[in-house]
Amino acid sequence: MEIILETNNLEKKYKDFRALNHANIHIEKGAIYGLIGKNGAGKTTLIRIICGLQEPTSGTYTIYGVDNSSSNIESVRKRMGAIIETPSIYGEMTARDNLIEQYKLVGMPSLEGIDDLLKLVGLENTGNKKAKNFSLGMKQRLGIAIALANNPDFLILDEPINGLDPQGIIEIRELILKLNKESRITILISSHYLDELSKIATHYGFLDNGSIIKEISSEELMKKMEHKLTLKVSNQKDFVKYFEENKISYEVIDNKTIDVYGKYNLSKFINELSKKNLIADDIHEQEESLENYYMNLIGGGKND
Amino acid sequence: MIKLLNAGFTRLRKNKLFWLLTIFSIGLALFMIYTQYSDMKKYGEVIEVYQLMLNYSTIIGIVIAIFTSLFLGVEYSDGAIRNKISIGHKRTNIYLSNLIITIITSLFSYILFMIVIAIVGIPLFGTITIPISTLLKLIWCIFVTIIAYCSIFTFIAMMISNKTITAIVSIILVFGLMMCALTSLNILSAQEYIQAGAFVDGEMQFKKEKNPRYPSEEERKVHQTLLDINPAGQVFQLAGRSAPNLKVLPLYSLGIIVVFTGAGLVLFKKKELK
Repeated sequence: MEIILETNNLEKKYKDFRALNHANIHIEKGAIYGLIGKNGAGKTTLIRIICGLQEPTSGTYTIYGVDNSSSNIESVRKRMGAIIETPSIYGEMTARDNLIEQYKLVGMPSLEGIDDLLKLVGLENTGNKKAKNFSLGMKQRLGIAIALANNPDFLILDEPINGLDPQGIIEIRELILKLNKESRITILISSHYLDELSKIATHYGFLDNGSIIKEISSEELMKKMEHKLTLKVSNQKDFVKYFEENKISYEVIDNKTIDVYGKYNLSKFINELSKKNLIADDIHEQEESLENYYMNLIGGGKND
Repeated sequence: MIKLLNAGFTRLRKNKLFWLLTIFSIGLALFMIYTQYSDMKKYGEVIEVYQLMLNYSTIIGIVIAIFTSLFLGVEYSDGAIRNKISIGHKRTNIYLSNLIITIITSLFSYILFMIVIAIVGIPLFGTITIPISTLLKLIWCIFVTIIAYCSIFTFIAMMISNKTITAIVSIILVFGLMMCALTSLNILSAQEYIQAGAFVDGEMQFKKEKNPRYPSEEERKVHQTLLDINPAGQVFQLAGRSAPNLKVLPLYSLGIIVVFTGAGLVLFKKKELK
């Protein structure tokens, strides 16, 4: 799988404060990569560095395989679109004029695609209304349209749903999914709204105190978040054989622990096992949410 | 760079501030003509059109300070610089394109002013009475000073990320430069001898005395140099046709342009943007 963005031990210090601490992320082509972290975790700093607004104190990053120290780094950024914190729009201009400005900036040969872009983000009927009078959601959608003006194949969205009302959040979510599915745009999206991210992300990077503490695909994460039974067993092989024969989804955690995924009636499940002389020393039923998973990663584990 | 300039001029055409500047340039020219024409009619004064053309230069620094700080200040406040960098424009090109737009707009304002003075003023006050080559030299010097002003205020606007602070610093600076220039001009215009009056036997008697405030040769050199370096000093001398050495003024302006643009490019390249 082609890697679009990779960072290697990225570090950023502001005097005594270390905003990024050897952060390593890997974004595959076609992914919606959810960058999760609490306020001050380093999400925006990481995005600013990737977008060329700031230089890392140490470490490197590559975009489309081009190293940040290369003279070609600006050229590869031409394939990117970004919204960093707030959308970059001229408040005194209309949505159309803002897009014309962006089209000129990126050197589009004609202004033909502007109507389609306005339609895509649902701003085709804003007429002469100046962008400064737009709602937050409209501004955010205009920001996305501007970021799409150069037909990017990598889009960076920093906290795109901050401050939006529920309707605005749904609109942005649907737009992101549409861009990813229909235009195959790889998307890096930072947020601390876990629920929202869980609805769109294909991959996650958990950032805490400037470090990526875990990268995981949504499939892996869903598996971890599934309803599961944790069995402590002494005759692990027999259990594995039984699960294989009965096509039960399981994962061997260690030589005495097996996780069984899926929702089961616990007493019936134990009964079925006992019929085969499979007696577990301990069975523990659990269900994990993204929130729990995140809390365990960043703090729960440390506090426990 | 071409893309940045193309986008910059597109924004300029739609910018309220630019149209206000255009109206101001025309309005100021018409206002000057009106007041001078009234004086000519009332007091029979002789009005020289070329002088009117040069007069705008004395306040052009204020106009550039306001325009540059507000026009370029928006680049930060609306996130435009952030956007330009993130889509792959080089910082050097961003800086230079902003400088070029500021220079062209400022020169446009001055040229527009002169055109209005020429079209309306010549039929009213008569033709230009000094040699055209002399006038062209003066205008050339003013244009170079305008570019120097632009390089200073572009530097400020690109270094300070806050539009309001940029505007305050630029305006304070331009008035500071004007005050310094006026102080030097005042010192340089002091008479070497003054008439001192004293009562002798109940009668007032005057005698010529050395002016204690008359600057020494060294002081004169220092103040003349300060005046020549200072863009406000340059335009005061150009408008008053009092520059002792016209040739050095564009050289000093060139120095200002190189220093401020060079420093601006280096610092902007390293600037951490938020």
